[in-house]
Amino acid sequence: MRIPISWLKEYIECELEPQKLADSLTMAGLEVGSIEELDGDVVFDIEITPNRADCLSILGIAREIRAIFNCRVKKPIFKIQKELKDDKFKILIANPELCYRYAGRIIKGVKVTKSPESLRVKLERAGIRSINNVVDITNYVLLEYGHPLHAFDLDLLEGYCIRVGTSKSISDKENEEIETLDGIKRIVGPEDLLIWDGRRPVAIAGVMGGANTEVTESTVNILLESAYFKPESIRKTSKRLGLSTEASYRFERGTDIENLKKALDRAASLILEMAGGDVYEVIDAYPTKIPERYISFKTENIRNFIGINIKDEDMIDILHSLEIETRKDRESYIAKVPTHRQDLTIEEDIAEEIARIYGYDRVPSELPQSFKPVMENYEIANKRKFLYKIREYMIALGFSEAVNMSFMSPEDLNLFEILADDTRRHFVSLMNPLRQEESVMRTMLTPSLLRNVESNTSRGIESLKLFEIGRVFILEKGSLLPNEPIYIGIVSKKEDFKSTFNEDPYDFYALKGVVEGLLKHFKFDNFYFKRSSEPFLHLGQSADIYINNEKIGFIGVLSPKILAKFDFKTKPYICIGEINLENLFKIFSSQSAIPYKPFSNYPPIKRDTAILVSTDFESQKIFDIVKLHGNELIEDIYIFDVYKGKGIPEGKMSIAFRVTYRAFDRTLTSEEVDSIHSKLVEKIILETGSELRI
Amino acid sequence: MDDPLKQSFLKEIDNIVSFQDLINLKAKYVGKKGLLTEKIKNLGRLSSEERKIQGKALNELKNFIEEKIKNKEIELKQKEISESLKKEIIDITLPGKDYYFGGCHPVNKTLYEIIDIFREIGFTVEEGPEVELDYYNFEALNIPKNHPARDMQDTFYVSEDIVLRTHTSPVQVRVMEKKKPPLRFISPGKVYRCDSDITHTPMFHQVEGLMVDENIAFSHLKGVLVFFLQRLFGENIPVRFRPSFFPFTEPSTEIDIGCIICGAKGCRVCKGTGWLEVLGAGMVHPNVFKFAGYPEGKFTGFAFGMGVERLTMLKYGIDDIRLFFENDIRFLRQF
Repeated sequence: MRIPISWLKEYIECELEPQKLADSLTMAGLEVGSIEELDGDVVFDIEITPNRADCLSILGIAREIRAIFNCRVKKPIFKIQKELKDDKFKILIANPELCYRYAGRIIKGVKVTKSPESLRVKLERAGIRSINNVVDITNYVLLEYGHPLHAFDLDLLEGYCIRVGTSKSISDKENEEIETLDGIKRIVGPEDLLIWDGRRPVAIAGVMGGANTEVTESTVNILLESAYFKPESIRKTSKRLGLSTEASYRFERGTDIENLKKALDRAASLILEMAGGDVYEVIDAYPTKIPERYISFKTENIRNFIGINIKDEDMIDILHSLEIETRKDRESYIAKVPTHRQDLTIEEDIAEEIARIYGYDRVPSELPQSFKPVMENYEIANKRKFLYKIREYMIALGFSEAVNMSFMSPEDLNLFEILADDTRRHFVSLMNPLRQEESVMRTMLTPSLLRNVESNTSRGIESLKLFEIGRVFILEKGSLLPNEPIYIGIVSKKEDFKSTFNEDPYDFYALKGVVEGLLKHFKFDNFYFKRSSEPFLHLGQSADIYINNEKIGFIGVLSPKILAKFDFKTKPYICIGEINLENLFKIFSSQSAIPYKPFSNYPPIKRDTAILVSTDFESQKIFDIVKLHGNELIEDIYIFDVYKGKGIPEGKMSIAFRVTYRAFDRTLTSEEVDSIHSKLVEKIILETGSELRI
Repeated sequence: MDDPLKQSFLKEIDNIVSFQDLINLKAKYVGKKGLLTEKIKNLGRLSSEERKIQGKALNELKNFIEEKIKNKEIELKQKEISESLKKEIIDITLPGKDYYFGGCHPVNKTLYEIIDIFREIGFTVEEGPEVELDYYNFEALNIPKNHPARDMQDTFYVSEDIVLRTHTSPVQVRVMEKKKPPLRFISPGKVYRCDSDITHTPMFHQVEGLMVDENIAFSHLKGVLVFFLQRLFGENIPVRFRPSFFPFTEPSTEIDIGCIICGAKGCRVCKGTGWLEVLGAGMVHPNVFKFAGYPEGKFTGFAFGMGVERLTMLKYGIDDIRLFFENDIRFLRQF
């Protein structure tokens, strides 16, 4: 709220330097967001928290200053000399549960003109545009007292009455249309509270007046309204219409029901002063009373709760300075909540009032003397450590950690050609997304990683490796909330560019090596790769990752078909992968400690062999045969060369492997190993239909 | 023994610089027809008495010469290696092979730092879902429907009753439903607000904390948070507590640190105030304990929350929040 200091000073009896005043208000909970100098005046912009409706006025701020600085407040002095009687005008409240009180004054014979400059300047500094003297006065009192008022052109009100109610209870229509003062025709619902004359709606209660009864320069007679509406009701209507006004802002936070007549009188006296006319007696319909509220509190509780040594008398003084009356009741005190402080309901609220005026900065800072032990949530702790290690592993391998928004577009799934029955199509949609591209929760990590690659590339980055660890969101049948498993997404990109040295691999095998290394890092040894059928991967250069016959992810070269849909100006070579870390962690944490395997220190004997196979041969077969062969002297087998080209027949390739033999109890002889090895090779050749390369 | 033979040998070996010369020298003195060999061969001509004396002396000389030659050979070999090493000098300023160098995300870096600080004083870590029930995100935190406090956070709705959590506070309630005090934990994670401009992104990270026990006071809240801020920003960082409002705490406070960009003199970042808001906190509202099913009046506690992006921006002088989600490799590699 904008507070011009010159205006504020009309009500407080002490000289305060603006900066010091701002600091003190801030430290009492009324944060001065900015201080602006304006034509010799100073304007504070104070951020009023939603609980402090009482501070949405100049007098409300003055009340706080009195409590902080212990100075006096001068409330406006005015008097209405002569009131006329009028028995005919009626106020009817059809929904007393929504409109607790409605007071009005008729003023006849006013002269509606431009406001005097002093009034206009005050309003403008506070951020309100001047309209005419009558409307300006209602706004002036709104700023001064914090109570919204409204003026109707009395002669445009039909039936010489005001009715307050929803369209449901007054017109029995589903919707009503009303053109508001801003010239917009609005449709209000059956639950929205309206102000009616004898025939039609003339205002949306607490939000905005109707154009049909607007006060203009031709207005002579007016009805001035000051009412109390139920905060939740005003808020609903304001939200539904998407219309927030100075009035609705205050009504939905709660105005002071007891003081609304004072605001009405203040406005009436100012109108008489500036626009002339004769004022009539107040017509006050007050069907619903808010009960007086008392809070019982113990000063000892408050001392312990805040952690300060403050005397009872000092606490009581603070409360009195805030217009909170107290009385002693045996061991406790009883505080009477002033009608403008509807936010105070419990002892803790009293504690806060005392603490904030006493000063939060005077409260000591102390760590609790001793901490009782608290049990760790081991599953969460272990998972966090697991994820942390994966992250460190990836970073150590040269991947950089990305963080993307958890959103995606449903179009991304089409872009990736995800099939209709894939669970990744079971996404969570947002009702109010900011953009179409961010309208659902992501079910995959790689689409946004690819966009990162795209933007990096457009900025001239040639090669990069990224990963992201984060949740994806999959709707589950029969469950209210979606499943939120944590995944890792991996991407590497390289342009068609050869470095003379420092060659960092970016191909399928490089990514496969990363994944294998990662799995081995956590001592998984039961994983394997199967050719993948993911539609967005290169069909010949992709694999699904399995552990214990469960698919936990995929890796592969991005299909050129998908790549073509992105906006790359270059010719990138991109590998991507995703692994369900939630499942991986489950398997990891179900593993018991793997017992130590003894190893032999007798010398090994190694034999190298190369075979010729057809080019579509899968080398996994060799490993499988060796495994099935089951000779206990075979310690290890690995492939050290794969070659096709010169010297090899068309359609064939050469695979060279090395087998290591070692015994636990003796030194093997060359002859012994030769015999075992030739049998093994024979078997491999037979079962793979290959031939020995000589 | 002042043997002239020895004298001449020592003089010669000193001048040897090549293996060939050394071989020649060896032949000259101790080869088959070497000077010393000849002398030894001639020993037979002497009397047995004389032979004994001369023989011993000549043998000692032979050993001496052979030892010297051996040492010279080692010396020449070392010299030869040193010479060849000089030819193998490479440009050590070229970058290393397998130039592995990844960066971590600065927000996660700060997040882990925050977790470490709180773990140091015995806080554990709890988690909860990001797609959350309205009940846990608002209602159980004392924010009923149609309460103006809902305006403080623009919410993404999935349905009438399901939201993207606007803070990690719902974890508070979920944990309190399951566990009895003492409680001391933080809940880090992603949160969502329907807001996007230069200073806001629709997703960001928060760390929320809760400490509940008997006799926890507001002064303890101050103690724990001052400790935290001093660990994160250094011991001399000024800290101030301002009264504020959150529906789920009473009293509530916002915590500022002295502006680390301008040294609290006043700048664009701190809007000239010299202070930067970094935390929101307060004593847990009794209604929240009620929702959690705790007995009335038995426990007190405090809760706090902070935005990790903001702390990261302050810590590293990052001036645009959008940098965090562009994932430019040149940015990530700096952390």
